[in-house]
Amino acid sequence: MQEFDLVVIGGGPAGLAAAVAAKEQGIDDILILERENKLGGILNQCIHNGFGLHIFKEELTGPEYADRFVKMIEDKKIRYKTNTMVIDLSEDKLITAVNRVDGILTIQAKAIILAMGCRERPRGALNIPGQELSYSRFWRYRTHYGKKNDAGRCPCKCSCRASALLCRLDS
Amino acid sequence: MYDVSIIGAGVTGMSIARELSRYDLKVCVLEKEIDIAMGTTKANSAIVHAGFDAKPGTLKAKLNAPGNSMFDQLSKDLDFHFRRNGSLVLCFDEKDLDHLEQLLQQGVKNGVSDLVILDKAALLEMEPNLSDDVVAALYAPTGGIVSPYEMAIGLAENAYENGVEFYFENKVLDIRKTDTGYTIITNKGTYESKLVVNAAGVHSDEMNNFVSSNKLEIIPRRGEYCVFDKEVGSYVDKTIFQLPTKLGKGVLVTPTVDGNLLVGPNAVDIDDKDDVTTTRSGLDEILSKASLSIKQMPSHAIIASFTGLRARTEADDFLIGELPDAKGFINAAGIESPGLTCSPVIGIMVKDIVVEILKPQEKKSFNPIRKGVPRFAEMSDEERQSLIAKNPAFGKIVCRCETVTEGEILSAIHRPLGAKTIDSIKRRTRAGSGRCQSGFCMTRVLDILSRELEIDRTEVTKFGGESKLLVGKNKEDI
Ligand SMILES: Cc1cc2nc3c(=O)[nH]c(=O)nc-3n(C[C@H](O)[C@H](O)[C@H](O)COP(=O)(O)OP(=O)(O)OC[C@H]3O[C@@H](n4cnc5c(N)ncnc54)[C@H](O)[C@@H]3O)c2cc1C
Ligand SMILES: Cc1cc2nc3c(=O)[nH]c(=O)nc-3n(C[C@H](O)[C@H](O)[C@H](O)COP(=O)(O)OP(=O)(O)OC[C@H]3O[C@@H](n4cnc5c(N)ncnc54)[C@H](O)[C@@H]3O)c2cc1C
Repeated sequence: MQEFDLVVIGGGPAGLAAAVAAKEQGIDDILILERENKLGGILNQCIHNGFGLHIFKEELTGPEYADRFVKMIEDKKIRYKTNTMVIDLSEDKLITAVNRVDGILTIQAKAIILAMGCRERPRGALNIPGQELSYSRFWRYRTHYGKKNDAGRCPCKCSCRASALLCRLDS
Repeated sequence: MYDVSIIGAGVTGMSIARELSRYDLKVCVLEKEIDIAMGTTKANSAIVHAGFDAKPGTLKAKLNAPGNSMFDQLSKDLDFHFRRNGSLVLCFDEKDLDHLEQLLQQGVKNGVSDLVILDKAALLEMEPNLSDDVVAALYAPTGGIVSPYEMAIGLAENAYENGVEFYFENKVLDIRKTDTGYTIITNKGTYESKLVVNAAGVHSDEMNNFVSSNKLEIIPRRGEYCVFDKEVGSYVDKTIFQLPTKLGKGVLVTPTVDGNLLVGPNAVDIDDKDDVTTTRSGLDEILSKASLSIKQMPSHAIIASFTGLRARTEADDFLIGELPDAKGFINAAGIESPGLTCSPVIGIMVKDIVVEILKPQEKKSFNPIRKGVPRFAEMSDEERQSLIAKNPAFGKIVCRCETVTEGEILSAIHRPLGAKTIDSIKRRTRAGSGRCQSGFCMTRVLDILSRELEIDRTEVTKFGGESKLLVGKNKEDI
């Protein structure tokens, strides 16, 4: 079992900023746990610009903005583990996490910051009736009923994730 | 030349296949879809009925209790999830108490053990979240819940390991009588077989009608469901049925073996055997009817909805047996509820018919045991640690909601009759069946499938056929 003064669960912008702030306030013994293979959280998929105007007075994309924080983490020598998912947390701040290298990790923390972001609720949560269609069939429907597009390709050429587009259409 | 060809890889066909794999027979399964359990077997209430429901004298009544009693051993041998949670039929009106008593008597006639009628106080102690309007209930401790697709997959893998051959994406288009048996024509080829077993679910009338002048007609009857998040999965512990009310036949509220809550089904006759859409009116109907049974419908926690089709025939009973006007053609048709519960016995019945005709030897090498995909989420930390030490892929969580590891997904792909699609992975591991309904893990599962099956990402499908998920690289043709 390892021990840390502060464990931050989640390496998105909230977790990274919290870790940096804690370090600046004099807490040295910090560990960030992140289940993705890199730090940055949802910002890594926000490829548009507009981030950073307030804090860095610059126009940055999501990943660029996240990188600034990752750099601060590196500079301040704050420890982190990626590819590591927290799977249990007890009342007395005992954390259980898992990754490929350490297997099951148990970590005793004096304080914990929860910065796990949020999870989308699926279309089923809205209880919308209809039929499940696959992504490509969705576009075929869409191009059939909406904008004509012979390639059967998403007409807006957007970067939306396939899973978000599994849609239900009323029959 | 096959000894037996089974049409349909649902729980009926797979129970039959496994029973036949005990014998020295050349058996094949022909299935139109890309995987096992893609018909009604994947969309039903998943209840292992106690057996008080069916009219005494019918096959449904005769097979139910014996089928039910086989689940303990079967689920152990084949490593699928089954729990004897018990069931309650709620009565909301003093005037209906004699209905409850009749149901109990019917159960006794059908060989159901331990049935008892409980009063309101006993009920609310057993199930505190039941509606205060409940008056009494019939309690059947032998009722159970099961994962129907896990069960069918377990049966299939075991049958395969014991020598049964499987041909997926083979849709039977015609069956012709020959001197030695039958020629079965599919979209992929032709198969010669001495005997044919028809286990084609809602399509079993079509198979029957290829060879018999005794025509069958199946009118699919839709049943719709809502699945709820595990957050409310223990809202009730027993399977909660209702006596028919003024509003018609009741709907059930039940936990599932995986820890979710399930509500449904309604019953609407439709004319399209492939139509598994859900409807606004259907979902509203089941939610409002089920609200009678419990204190509060946790509607905020719904995560998915689905439809299953009952294989309804005029006979209103299972049709099992060799056809008088087509010798060697054996029906297991019209297998509607409680078909899942009865499937182990249907397997034995059809096996007996085959053995009677072909008189095969029993195989000494038959192995009744099958091991399922390991379940990381259900292990102790010690078990997890030793598994990861052997294979680090079990240290990589792919589906966050259900805590499914890459190791489990690899096991689902590289096993007998392994998974080839996103949905096949889901039914074998639960990746994507949780709270976010695959929002996070689908693309990762897709990557793993593409890598392991050595196919392009654009070739990976959700459930076979044209259900491709990706159409190409973003902005590739700008
Ligand atoms: C499409 C899109 C566009 C957006 N556009 C903008 C914009 O223009 N401007 C703006 O300001 N905001 C925007 N946002 C919002 C912004 O991205 C989020 O507000 C921000 O990323 C939230 O940060 P967070 O740290 O709270 O959560 P996240 O970024 O989600 O980080 C949480 C981290 O915790 C990790 N984690 C979760 N559970 C565990 C666990 N059990 N173990 C280990 N690690 C775990 C996750 O992997 C994740 O990396 C956008 C968001 C999206 C989705
Ligand atoms: C709403 C509902 C609720 C139910 N609840 C319960 C319950 O709680 N308990 C219970 O015991 N039972 C229940 N049942 C009944 C149970 O689900 C069925 O009896 C059982 O799943 C039937 O299995 P099967 O193998 O006969 O059919 P299916 O699972 O439909 O399998 C038939 C297979 O045949 C294949 N096929 C069809 N045509 C062809 C062709 N031309 N060529 C090749 N293959 C073909 C199909 O693709 C399919 O895979 C319920 C049914 C429904 C609809």
